[in-house]
Amino acid sequence: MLDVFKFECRYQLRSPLFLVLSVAFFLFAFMLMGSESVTLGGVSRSLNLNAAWTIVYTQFFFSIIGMFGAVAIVSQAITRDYEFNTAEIFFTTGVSPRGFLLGRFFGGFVFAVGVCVAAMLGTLLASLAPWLDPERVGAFSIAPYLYALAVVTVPNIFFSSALFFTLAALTRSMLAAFIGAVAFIVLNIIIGNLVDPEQVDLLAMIDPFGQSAFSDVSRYWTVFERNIELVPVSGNLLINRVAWMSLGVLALLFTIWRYRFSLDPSVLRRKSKRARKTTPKPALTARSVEQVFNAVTPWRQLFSQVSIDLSGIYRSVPFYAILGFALLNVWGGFEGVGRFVGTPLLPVTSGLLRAIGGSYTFFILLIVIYYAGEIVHRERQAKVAEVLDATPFPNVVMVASKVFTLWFMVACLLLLAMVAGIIYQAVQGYTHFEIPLYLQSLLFVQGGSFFMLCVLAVFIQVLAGNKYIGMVAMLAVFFVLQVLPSLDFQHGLYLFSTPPVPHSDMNGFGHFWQPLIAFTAYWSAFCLVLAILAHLLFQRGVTDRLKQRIALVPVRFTSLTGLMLTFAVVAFAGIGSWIFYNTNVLNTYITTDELEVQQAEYEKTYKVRELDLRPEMLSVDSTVDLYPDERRLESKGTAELVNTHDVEISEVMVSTHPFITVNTLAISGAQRVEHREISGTHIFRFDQPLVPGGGAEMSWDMTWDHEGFANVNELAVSGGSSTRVVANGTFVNNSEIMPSLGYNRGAEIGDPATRREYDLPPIQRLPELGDPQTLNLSQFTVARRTEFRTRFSTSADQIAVAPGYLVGDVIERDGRRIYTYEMDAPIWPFFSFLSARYEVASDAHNGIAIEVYHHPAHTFNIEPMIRGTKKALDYFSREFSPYQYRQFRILEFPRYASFAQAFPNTIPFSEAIGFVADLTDPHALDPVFYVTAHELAHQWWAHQVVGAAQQGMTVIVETLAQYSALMVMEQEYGEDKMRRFLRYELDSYLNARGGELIEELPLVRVENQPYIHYRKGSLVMYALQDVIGEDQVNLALRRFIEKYAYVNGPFPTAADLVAEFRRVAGPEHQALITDLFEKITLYDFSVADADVEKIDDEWQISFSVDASKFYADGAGEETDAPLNLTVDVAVFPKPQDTLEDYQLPAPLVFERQTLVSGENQLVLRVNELPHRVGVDPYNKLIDRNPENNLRLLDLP
Amino acid sequence: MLKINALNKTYANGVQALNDVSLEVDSGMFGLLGPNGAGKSSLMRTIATLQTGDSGSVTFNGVDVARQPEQLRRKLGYLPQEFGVYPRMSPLTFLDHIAVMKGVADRAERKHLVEQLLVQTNLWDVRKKSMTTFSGGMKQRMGIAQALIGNPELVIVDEPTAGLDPVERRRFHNLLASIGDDVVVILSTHIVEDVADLCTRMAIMAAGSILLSGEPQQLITQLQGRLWRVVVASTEVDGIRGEMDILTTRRIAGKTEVKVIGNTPPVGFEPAQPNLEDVYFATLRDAGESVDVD
Ligand SMILES: Nc1ncnc2c1ncn2[C@@H]1O[C@H](COP(=O)(O)OP(=O)(O)OP(=O)(O)O)[C@@H](O)[C@H]1O
Ligand SMILES: [Mg+2]
Repeated sequence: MLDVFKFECRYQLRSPLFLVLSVAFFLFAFMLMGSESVTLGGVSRSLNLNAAWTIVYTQFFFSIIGMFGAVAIVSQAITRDYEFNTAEIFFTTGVSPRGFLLGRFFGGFVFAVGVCVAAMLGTLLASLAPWLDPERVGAFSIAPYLYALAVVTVPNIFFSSALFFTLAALTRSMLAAFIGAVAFIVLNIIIGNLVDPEQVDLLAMIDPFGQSAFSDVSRYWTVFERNIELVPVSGNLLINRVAWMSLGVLALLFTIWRYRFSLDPSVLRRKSKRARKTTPKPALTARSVEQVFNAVTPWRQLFSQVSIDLSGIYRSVPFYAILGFALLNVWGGFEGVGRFVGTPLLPVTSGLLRAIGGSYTFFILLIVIYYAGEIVHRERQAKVAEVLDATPFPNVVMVASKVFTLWFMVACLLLLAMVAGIIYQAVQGYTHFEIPLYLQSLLFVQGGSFFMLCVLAVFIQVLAGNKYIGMVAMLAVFFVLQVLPSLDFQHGLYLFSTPPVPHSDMNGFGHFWQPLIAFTAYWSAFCLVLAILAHLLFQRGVTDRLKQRIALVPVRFTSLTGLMLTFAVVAFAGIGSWIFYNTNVLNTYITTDELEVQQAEYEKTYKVRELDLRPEMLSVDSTVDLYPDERRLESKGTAELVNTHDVEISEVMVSTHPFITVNTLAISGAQRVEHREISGTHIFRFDQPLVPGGGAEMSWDMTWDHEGFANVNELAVSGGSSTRVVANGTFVNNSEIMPSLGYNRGAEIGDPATRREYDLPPIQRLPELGDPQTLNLSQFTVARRTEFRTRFSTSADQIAVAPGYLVGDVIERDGRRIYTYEMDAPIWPFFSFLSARYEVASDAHNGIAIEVYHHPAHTFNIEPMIRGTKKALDYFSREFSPYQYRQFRILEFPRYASFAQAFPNTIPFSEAIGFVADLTDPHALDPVFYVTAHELAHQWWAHQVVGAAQQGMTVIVETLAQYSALMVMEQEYGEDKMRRFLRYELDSYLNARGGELIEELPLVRVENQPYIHYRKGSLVMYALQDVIGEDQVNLALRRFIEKYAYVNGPFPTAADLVAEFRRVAGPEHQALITDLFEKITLYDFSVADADVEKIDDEWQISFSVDASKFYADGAGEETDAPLNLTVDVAVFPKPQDTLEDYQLPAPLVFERQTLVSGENQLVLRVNELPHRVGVDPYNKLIDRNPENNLRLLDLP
Repeated sequence: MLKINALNKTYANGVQALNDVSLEVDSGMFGLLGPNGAGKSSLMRTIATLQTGDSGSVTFNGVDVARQPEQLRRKLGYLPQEFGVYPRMSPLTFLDHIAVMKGVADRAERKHLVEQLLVQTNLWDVRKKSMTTFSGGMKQRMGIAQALIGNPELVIVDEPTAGLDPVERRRFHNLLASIGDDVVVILSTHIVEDVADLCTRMAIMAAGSILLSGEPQQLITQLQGRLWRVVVASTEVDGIRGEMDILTTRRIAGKTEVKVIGNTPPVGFEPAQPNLEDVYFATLRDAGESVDVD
């Protein structure tokens, strides 16, 4: 065995596979660590680059992709002899099968681990690189590396090597091992999807790579913990590692038991038992045949070769295995398609197409890479090449046949996805099958680049001349293509793919057709060049070396080839120039880095003006003319500016959107003294400083149009602006189409590491809570509401909507529709303009008109929206204050973004969330109701009361909207569902903490951090009303509104809100309010043990509760704090089968008991059979480990 | 007519497989004899357009093979020394494919042709079987069948009879003989009888060079009267070897036959009737190749 082992090691050392993989892994790991622009998904930018957690996590990644390397290495170790027909020699040398197997296995295994160690070295070396941001590099420690090697790499590579070594040894086929590996991964994903996420232990066990167990422990870790701590090897992680290693050992034992030296790959052989019908031999008759060589001959040859190549595919078992796994793969993708707070979305075709794109791309890519190697080298591998190569076909026939065969495979996979999609829709009872849309998207829009990839893969295989080198080269090329954008190479002219084209039901593929066709034509021409080169360099006969083949080019180069090549090159260059003209001349090509440079420059130049006093806009009169077909919008208007301060104003900064063309912009009595087009900044200086109370008029005339098409990174660099003015479903706001006053803090770079790169000081996301300078500035960054009137026109087939009420009639003339909207009272200068071919559903409630403007096909959830609106209107106007408008409108917009936003009496709501949610499951949470209520609540929390622009401001707007929606939902759906919702909130909050980039803040000081103001906000408000009562909270909110609604400043702060809560809460709850709002407080409750005793007819449950409380600092470092709090304790009966698993049955006893830090002994009595006992069973408090609050009882 | 002119080929590993090979081959059967590694296959591959020489040229009926490989391939039938088959494919499908590749456009014609060849190579009964299951000889016959598809004017067969049983070998000989007189057939082999039986002309190759070429009968005649033999006990062979240059030794029924070449018979030797094998051995020995197999 040792000999075989040594032999294998020598072999592997010289094998290109090992070398290439190691180098690739090393470089990849080096880049991941050494370049800040390339990071692994799931690694937060707030962590140290060399955080212990990251090092281990990275090794998980490498050991998972390394699995394929391991499969290649070990299965090659065992199948090599068959492939090179050296098996006979080996089997007669007297080595025992066991020695042979183990020698080969361990030889391969050691090198498979070696590949991952190369990655580790890459990480390690890069972590010492001098160019890293020193702020993000912690002290060096070798421990995480050793830990990763022992806990991650060796176990993972061992079991995967063993498993697939077995498969390869028993089937004698490397392909089988590969398919096995892919199947293994896919099955894993599917099983992972099928298992209820609450089944943490099960999930931890079945994840073969141990990542689940690892993540469970570290899931809620903060930045501080992740930087230095390692997950202890115990519990689930330990069991998992041991279990999977044992499985590997079992697999090896099984191989030794079953393996025989023999040349007959009998395992997969089918016996064909066709009835032997004997056709009589034809008599020998001489007949001369005619050989025809004309223009049709190559086509005939091609046809025949394609059918030969295809038969090789569809006659092989693996192909069907691949189709099967592909099916599972997309199905898994469909299952995971957009859930919104746990509720599935309707299987609309757009959504499924998106899911296919997500789950399928990588799969198809692997297939293309693998099969290109198989197909291109098929003749050589089968040794028929020498026979075929001497027949008179032009090389191009073979090249084209290989390409067509790959295309066929890809097309099969794509069409399979379509069939799966249609079946999936049918199963869900959704029968609007859009087959043309499927075909368009799969075969062209999304699938186009796959077909191009096939040509590239064939070309690379031809060039490489060896399938393994070809596969690795193709992987490398693909990897480079993936990485280039993050290295700031983002132009579609070299990224070898077609631009991403989002599909929206409302707008179809919209304006994306043009760049799509342009880039497709461009790369097709390139593919033609590749194909011609492949023809010229084709391996024919015994011309193995590239050099020899290059020498043959002159012989192979005919005038026709020359013509074609010229045509292809000219087409490539011509279309390329046209694309360049569009992307770089008509439009501006800008990369993400350049964007950052601009952002940094803007901040450096204009930050000084942030606190400059500026006039307020007291009224706006605007004209907006939208030409949807041309994607052009004209915005004109005037605004009345007044100096509301008691000092003179001499200069004012005006911002316009960088994408809009400013035709004129003027302020009466002022001159523009500075203008920076790139950031849309204009500085005006008044001829005579504006005295307090003095006014001026600002007027503008701007055009937003789109000429030609922009580069493929447009969606990324435009921040969504490129999909705002569209053919159907335009949605723009005032910051995009009107000038606004003052410095725009939102344009600053937020990421601390990037800021350091540009020498920017640490960001101050918001001024301190209580900062006197900003008390007079609202969250809308103005101090006064505005009178608003707009004349908004669009094409005759669309409806245009802006805030305010429709005044007069809609004027129709010259193929245009003109609407005039006016608000009867001043509103915050936050205006939306939407236009689409809408259908309108109307209703009314207590004199308030309710309208839903929707895409005609999206009628599914109109009713819940209207119902939600009514319920919420009732609750809010009863509990808080009257609704200030006489109309409430919801408007659908395309799924280019998925949010809803509250403008005065107007709520744009994305196509992707509410309109297509599937509300048929009565147990699921109703996201439509929830979002509707939340957005409606903003008519109070934002439009009635808004906070000062400083820390905590989003508590008033977002946390209170969450609370309001929660209360309406609880009233509608009951406590059970609320708990489920809160559990989502708790989970999101705890998860998001680890991703905090700067520092976590207590709720009252939140700096626009969604995980705090939404997620934690819900939890805090729910706990508060649970303790002090909903009435009391609402009383406080009423008082808060009375005090602050419609003020012109000073605006309230979150501290003012907390003060109102304190006022109604009573002294016993003050400490809790401090913990909830003013500290980052975490609890940890668990039932340590419990005894049940039967006393007479009653059951007495004595149990001990471990309780603790921590305060965390901004980085997540925790300190113990003494706990003294009344907490829910309860005993539950066995749940009925009818209950959903998230539901708890009604408790047998429910009490509030005071708990202190440490162990608490408690006793409860019930008179029915108890089943579980729990502390804070409904997770009302922020519990770091919410799972262990309930405990199953052992009955005597 | 096939003309090979000063052809040289050195492989990347430094082996000079063809060394200034010049040869003219007229229509009819041409045999190529030579030891392993002589360069026969290299030569045949070069003629068959599967590789190019470093210098020199190959022309067939005036067509330069290296410059217009396509032209030659249209007239070529080639059986490589070693080849495989597509897995899970029947000879019927495969031969049909080769026929298409060779420009046989008419479907019925193709069918007829393929069926004829299957009968001629005795593969009719297995025509629908997967070739993966074929024995070495069956595979070889399939190879022969494909080489004969179309109307080849140049047939190159590299060790066509390797692995064939005597019956099949005979069948092959007959098949080859029936191809037609105006076709150039080049056949390489180690079996001297094949050449003797079939070829009108032949050449002997070693270490990349053509050592001798001509008509077999004429070459044999040249040895007439110069070849001597004696049969002795095996123990005496070493004694003889000390005294003179032995051409060949051969065991016959426990004794050893020793042949030598000379103008006068050595003592105790009797005249021997030369055959092609003797010519082969003599030529190789003259070229300095070791042919003494004891
Ligand atoms: N592709 C190749 N690369 C390198 N060397 C080669 C290659 N093909 C053949 N050779 C070498 O060239 C020499 C001639 O080989 P060739 O196959 O032409 O001989 P042959 O006469 O056909 O031998 P055999 O009777 O064994 O078939 C040998 O030394 C061989 O090792
Ligand atoms: Mg040979």
